[in-house]
Amino acid sequence: MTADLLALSGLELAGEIERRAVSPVEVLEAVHARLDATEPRWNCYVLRTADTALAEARQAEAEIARGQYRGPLHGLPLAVKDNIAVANTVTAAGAKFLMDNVTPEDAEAVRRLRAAGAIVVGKTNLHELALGSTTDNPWYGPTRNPYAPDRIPGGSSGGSAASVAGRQVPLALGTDSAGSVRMPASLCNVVGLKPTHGRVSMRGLVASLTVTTDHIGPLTRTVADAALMLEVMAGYDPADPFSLDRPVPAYRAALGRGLRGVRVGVPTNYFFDLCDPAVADGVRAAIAALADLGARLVEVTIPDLEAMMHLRSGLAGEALAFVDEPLRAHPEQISPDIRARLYAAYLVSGGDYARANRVRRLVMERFAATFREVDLLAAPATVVPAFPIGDHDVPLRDYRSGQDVAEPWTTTMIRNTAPGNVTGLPSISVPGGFTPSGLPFGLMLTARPFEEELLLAAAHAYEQATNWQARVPAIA
Amino acid sequence: MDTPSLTPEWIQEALRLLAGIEIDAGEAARVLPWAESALAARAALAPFDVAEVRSSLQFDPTGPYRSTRQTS
Repeated sequence: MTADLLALSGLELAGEIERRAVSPVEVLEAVHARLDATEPRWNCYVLRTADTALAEARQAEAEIARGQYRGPLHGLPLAVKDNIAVANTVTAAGAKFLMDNVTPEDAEAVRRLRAAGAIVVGKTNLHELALGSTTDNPWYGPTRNPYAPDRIPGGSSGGSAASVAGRQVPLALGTDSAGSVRMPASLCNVVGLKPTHGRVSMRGLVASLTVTTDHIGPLTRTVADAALMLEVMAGYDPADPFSLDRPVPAYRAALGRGLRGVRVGVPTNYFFDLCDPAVADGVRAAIAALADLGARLVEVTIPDLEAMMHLRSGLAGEALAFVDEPLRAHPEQISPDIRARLYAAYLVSGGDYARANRVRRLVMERFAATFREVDLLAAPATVVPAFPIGDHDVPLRDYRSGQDVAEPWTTTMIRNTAPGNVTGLPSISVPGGFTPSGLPFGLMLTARPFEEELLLAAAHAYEQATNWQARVPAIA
Repeated sequence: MDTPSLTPEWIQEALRLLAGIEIDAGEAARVLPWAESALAARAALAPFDVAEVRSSLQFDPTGPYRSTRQTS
């Protein structure tokens, strides 16, 4: 029985725990066995919290035996990206200069999940300072993609995505300031949800370099599990200045709404302009499947988006508010590639930053205009599938010129996800299929602010129709 | 708007003047593509008329009073 436990989704596993067919301790033992077997190859974790996890699993087991079942998260294993605080653990954000940063209390999102009974089994690897897409961390080593271990899992939440994909845990937390939840989700055939900015508290997020684009979100194998996590994490936190005081819907209750009559926008510019042909074809097929499910497809154009997305360079100066001191005091404790990006931030002027923020407002208004015509936007979450660890340029087709080109991953990998961060809109990557060479890619859906119910319902309908998440990587 | 052509020496001088940071030429060469990107962004954003646009920084004078945390 133990070997099969981790094949279950979070909610399926919760059902087994609730009816006492399996105990949280047995689930944890299965997690440890899987981690022992796979971590030497995949390197998803920078820290395993075995002792506290065992104590909490025993407590959960006792509570459930007494009839004190807290709900579907009770006893479920959870992985937490190592830039999100877990009480009394090091939270290093993948950075050497933070390796003695013991966080005294849980991040608010973690606190809510643990209060609901989730058990933190470890902290997951990430791209250094969450500033990149490969999770080839210079201090902790590269995390490998379970579907293709010579390739990246994406990033920066690569450890969390790979851990969920590899059936180490059913639930994980990531952060997303330019795509760092959705992009690794796309490359690892899992679900990644970036909620509306302000929907989930960011208190306890360590080393956030651009707080107005950053988010905490779930990575799971099913949309229903993402909905479950969001239900618990969402809600007003007066101690987070970006938190917004809005009611929290019962997201799981909305999953059955389906797609009939939903207007799905299909972009005519930007999102498919630079794309691996296999991914472009696969996502267009996924969008056609949305129509088969009753959605009405509407072509939409968001004017000037290509030029306007340069605003991200103008926001880069914000990173220095956090990283100026360690960059000056201990430059050797930041890897050369990240140092280069951060040094360049000093060349961004106050005027650049202000203009970037004003252009950002224009982008938000253009998306708002688009969302007067449609209910959702559909696009590839990533324009390429996972590429080999160590590669710098990735091949793709420029559909505007018809030429095959190679572009650096630093811009390519976040191309389609970053607009969601600039606008703060809720956005999800749901498994969208596999390329002919067997690499997964995600279908990205984006909705109006606080319309996570619609987003999750649409993603769930697509997932139920396609079931791509059932394709399991080689684990043994 | 023309984008000036940058060199590692220009990067070194700019960082010295703007931030008081000294880096060697090899490090400056790694900064170069990012600096070029920042200048290209400045040129790309210049045509947009943002005179009447309110920034998404969303200044809200009530924000600090919503917090229960004390800051020193």
